[in-house]
Amino acid sequence: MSWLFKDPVLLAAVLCTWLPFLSMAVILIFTRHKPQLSSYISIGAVSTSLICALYLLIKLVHVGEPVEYRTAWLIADDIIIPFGYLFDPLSLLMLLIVAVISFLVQVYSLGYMAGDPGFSRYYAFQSLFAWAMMDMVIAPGMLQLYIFWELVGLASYLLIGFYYEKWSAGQAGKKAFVMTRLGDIGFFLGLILLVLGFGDLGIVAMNEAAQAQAIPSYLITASALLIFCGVIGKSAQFPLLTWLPDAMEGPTPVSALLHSATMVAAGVYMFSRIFPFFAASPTAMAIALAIGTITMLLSSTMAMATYDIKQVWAYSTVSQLGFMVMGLAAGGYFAGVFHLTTHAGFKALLFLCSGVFIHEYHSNDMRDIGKGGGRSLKIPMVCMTVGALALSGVFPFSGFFSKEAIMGVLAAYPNKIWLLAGLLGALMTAYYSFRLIFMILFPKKVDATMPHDAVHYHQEKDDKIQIDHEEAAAGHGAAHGHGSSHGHEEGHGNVFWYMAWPLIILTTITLVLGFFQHSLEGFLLGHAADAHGGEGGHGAGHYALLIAAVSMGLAGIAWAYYEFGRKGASQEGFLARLPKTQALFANRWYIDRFLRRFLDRAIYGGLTNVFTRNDRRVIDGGIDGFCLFTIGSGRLFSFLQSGMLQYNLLVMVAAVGLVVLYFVV
Amino acid sequence: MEQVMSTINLSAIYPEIILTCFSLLILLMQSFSTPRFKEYYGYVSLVGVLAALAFVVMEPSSFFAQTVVYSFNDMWVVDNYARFFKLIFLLGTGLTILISMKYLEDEAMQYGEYFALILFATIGMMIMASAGELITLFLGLELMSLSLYVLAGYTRVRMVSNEAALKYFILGSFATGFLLYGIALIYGSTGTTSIRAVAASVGKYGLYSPGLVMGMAMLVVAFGFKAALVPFHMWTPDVYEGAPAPITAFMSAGPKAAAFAAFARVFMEGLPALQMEWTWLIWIMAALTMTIGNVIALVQDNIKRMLAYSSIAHAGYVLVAFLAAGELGISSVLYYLLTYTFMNIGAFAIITALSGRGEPRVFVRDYQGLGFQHPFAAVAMSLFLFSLAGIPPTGGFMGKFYIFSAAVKEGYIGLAVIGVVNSVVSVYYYLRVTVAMYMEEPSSVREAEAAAPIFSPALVIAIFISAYGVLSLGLFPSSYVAIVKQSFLALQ
Repeated sequence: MSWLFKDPVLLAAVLCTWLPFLSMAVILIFTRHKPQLSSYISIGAVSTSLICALYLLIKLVHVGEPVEYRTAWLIADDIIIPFGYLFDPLSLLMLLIVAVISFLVQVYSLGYMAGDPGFSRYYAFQSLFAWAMMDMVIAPGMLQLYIFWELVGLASYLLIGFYYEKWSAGQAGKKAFVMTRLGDIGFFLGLILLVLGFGDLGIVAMNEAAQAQAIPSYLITASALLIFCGVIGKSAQFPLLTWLPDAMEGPTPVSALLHSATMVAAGVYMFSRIFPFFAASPTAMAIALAIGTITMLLSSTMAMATYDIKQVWAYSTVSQLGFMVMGLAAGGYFAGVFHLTTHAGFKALLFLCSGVFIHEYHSNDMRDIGKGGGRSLKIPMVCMTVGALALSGVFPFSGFFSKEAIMGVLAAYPNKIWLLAGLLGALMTAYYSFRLIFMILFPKKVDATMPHDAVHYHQEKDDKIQIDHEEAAAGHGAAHGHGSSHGHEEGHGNVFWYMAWPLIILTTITLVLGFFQHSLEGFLLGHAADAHGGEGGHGAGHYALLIAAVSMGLAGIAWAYYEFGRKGASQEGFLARLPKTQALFANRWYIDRFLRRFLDRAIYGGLTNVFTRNDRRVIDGGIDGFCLFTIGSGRLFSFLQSGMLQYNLLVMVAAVGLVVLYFVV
Repeated sequence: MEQVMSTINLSAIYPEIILTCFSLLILLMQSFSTPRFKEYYGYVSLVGVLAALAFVVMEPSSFFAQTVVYSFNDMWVVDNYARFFKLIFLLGTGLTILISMKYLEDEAMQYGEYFALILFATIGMMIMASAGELITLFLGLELMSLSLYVLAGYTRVRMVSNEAALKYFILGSFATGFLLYGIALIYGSTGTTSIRAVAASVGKYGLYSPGLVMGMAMLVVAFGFKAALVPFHMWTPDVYEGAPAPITAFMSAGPKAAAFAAFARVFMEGLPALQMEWTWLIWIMAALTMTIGNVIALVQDNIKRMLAYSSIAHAGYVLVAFLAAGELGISSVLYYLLTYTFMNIGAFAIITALSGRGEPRVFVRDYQGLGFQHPFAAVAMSLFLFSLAGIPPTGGFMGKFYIFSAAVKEGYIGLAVIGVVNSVVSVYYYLRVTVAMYMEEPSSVREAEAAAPIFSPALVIAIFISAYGVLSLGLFPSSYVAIVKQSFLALQ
């Protein structure tokens, strides 16, 4: 073990990435029945990770070359599959993001999850997630990345289905797991292709070889497209985007941690991890750009039609992920990663603020929250507005800078249609964010009747969830004597501040992060920054673009104010006048229905039938026959194998005779 | 590769000297001390094994220095190949001692001879691995065999144990006869018994005499008997079933590895020219060994007997790698034998713990419901069985992976296919035990006569070491592969 202590960097890395695992094991095995202790163990582990991540960042910030600790896991011919640690600016940054958000969310959960019967289990899963995500981030090879990628998926499945007694939560967990797995099949096939064709799964080696054109281009394109399937699944890109809104069935802190800031960003992270590899294939980049754009536009429209506060942020997450993919696919490595960073901050902020409202009013519906007096919760309200401003890309919040960077990259792209799409997206983003803000801030006095069936359907569903939620909460209260503190006027005290502090910290981050754009850029791109002259459109049209983008955001806000904010506004939105479109948006463009039908027809109706028949007849039948034959021959042989000594000797002599005969003849 | 030669270099046989001293010490303790020392025989022999282990690694130079030391006029070779085998033997011996101590106490058979004989057998194996001479080889083999005959019949009050010893002895002496006859024929043809001299002679004149070929055939028979290859395997089930469980564990690991060590040295170093001649013979033997071992194991109800057949099958897998030869082939032989030592002794450790006094409980039905009564034992047993069946992430899987990839690489695709089909078949009988442990209710009869399994600290340590070995060989194969490759180089 002494090698571990000789190198403080390695020690920090090991502590950082393995303490959460330890904490999970300890909680599951020993402290399951001591919820308080479990949460302290988990938070202790993650805060140590945070410190180590900071240490690593400070220690390695000026190291030009990536630092790698790796051991070959399998040696077979010339296939190299490394395991270990890889520290370069990207992984250090992401490690810090994951550690910060995990830490804040775990602290926040002290308040949000207080009194839940599954408190220990919750923290065990949180630790599992932190461990898997961190080990994924620092993976030096694609197989390690893939393994932890799947573990992250497992943690997500467990946390989405955390309220497993609720049917819809179980379904949502399953849906998330199956849909992301669908993409992962492509990912894994891509890796296999790469092993067969190239033989080295080291990330550095892959990137270098791709840049040096040492890999044939058809291989890069094929494997990049397959690997991109993983991004589609994990980062909820079109057409696998519908699992993410459903994943909001999990506790709100989980949504903040997994389904906005970190886990779903894993896809984008992986994209940027092997960015040079992707960049070597223009075809793959073009397809990724198209998919990112479609995702961004579709999900923005969806967000305009829902009243569920968490669903709005979920759709918005999907659309922002699409935006990041656009940025990366258009060649803006820094722009994509920067937006990933800022988005992690403000989206976690938005979710955690929503969590406070949901905790307080026991409702996900923004109208109910507004009527219940959501504006009276000062801290979350202000924080949420800050988050929404950042999301809309308003100066001087962090979102402004990163959106601007991506817009710059898109503007540099020859085909301006992508830029137009981006601007349209910015408009819609601002509209739906402030639709939500104004509905909570200026609730309508008179009850509006439900305008449409589709909304009606959603409303019913939400009500059902809400009732379940309340019942569950009441049950916990009775069991734990937390009935009064569970979100009512008295007994805020600690619980409230556990939830408020992370909000304030995240708000601060959102406020200041944007101004670090240049230092971050220098850090991430290293020397390359000078050569490129930096990314993000420092071209001639820069100011025009800047004005265009900001005015899009402001226009969206104004539009929302006109429909929802001003006195006497109908608070119905333009969609209410276009029922067909609203139904289309509210039903998520019928993607789910299409997938369902596709599954039923093509998979269950066609393929499954054929395979079942093959299974029953050919495979089962063949195996049964083979088994009967082997067992029969086993009995025969063991009959021949008698314990009689003379017979044994006879067999041996006969065998010797045969051997001699073999050699002589 | 540096070669050091001298007439007499005692440092080359330090490990053997140490072990001899310790076995004599135990015998002296037995004769001169009061019975209350009887608990210490095991610990004393453990110390001996550890000391020998240290000397194997360190003397006459460090393992990674890649030196080859010839001593006693070429009668004795210490190279990394021999050292790796010695590590396997000492590992097997150490684990066996750990699982024996409590067993002997329960059987009321705590005599020093037991440990002394185990150490003598180990010395015999080590001599086989280091033999540079056919006569040295013969001495080692006899020392090992004679000790094992006695050990097989150690629980002398039990009829099956006596039967096992007698059968083993009679068939074994037959095999020894073949070995001697073979050596004589080779000496007659080449005028030497030194393996290197035989190689030189064959290299010079070719396979000039039928006597040489006949001698080789006899050697194949003798080694085949010791390694329990079909058709020379007939003794295995009876002996394994009758011998005390720890001794069965011991016999299934070390002596088998020793036979392969000698086999490879004589045939790879002494008679590489013969390789073309024996290909088909080994091919047939490997196919038969794998198939017959696995197929008969399917219908066994006695776990010891089942593992006896399974050990025959595993010898078949090793033979496949042996046939593939070359760096990959021999490396995978070494890798597999190491893995096999861990997993088989691990499984036998559990069997020892559960068998009860006089070993009445060694049937599959005795394992019903074990998963609920003794979760630790059941998990460990499942791990070893999974490894034996070759399921990842265990060492058994990696071992098989290396063996079959070596076979495919050398063009023995048919044999690799037979091997893979065989490992599928073997899953059935290994999993039968797991199924019994986790999915079947304990029968009422068994509950009535059930005695709690005996988990002494030493036994638990042995189980942990084995489990660690099995898992680390499966999860981190590359570091072991590096060592194995070092060992192979010596044979070149």
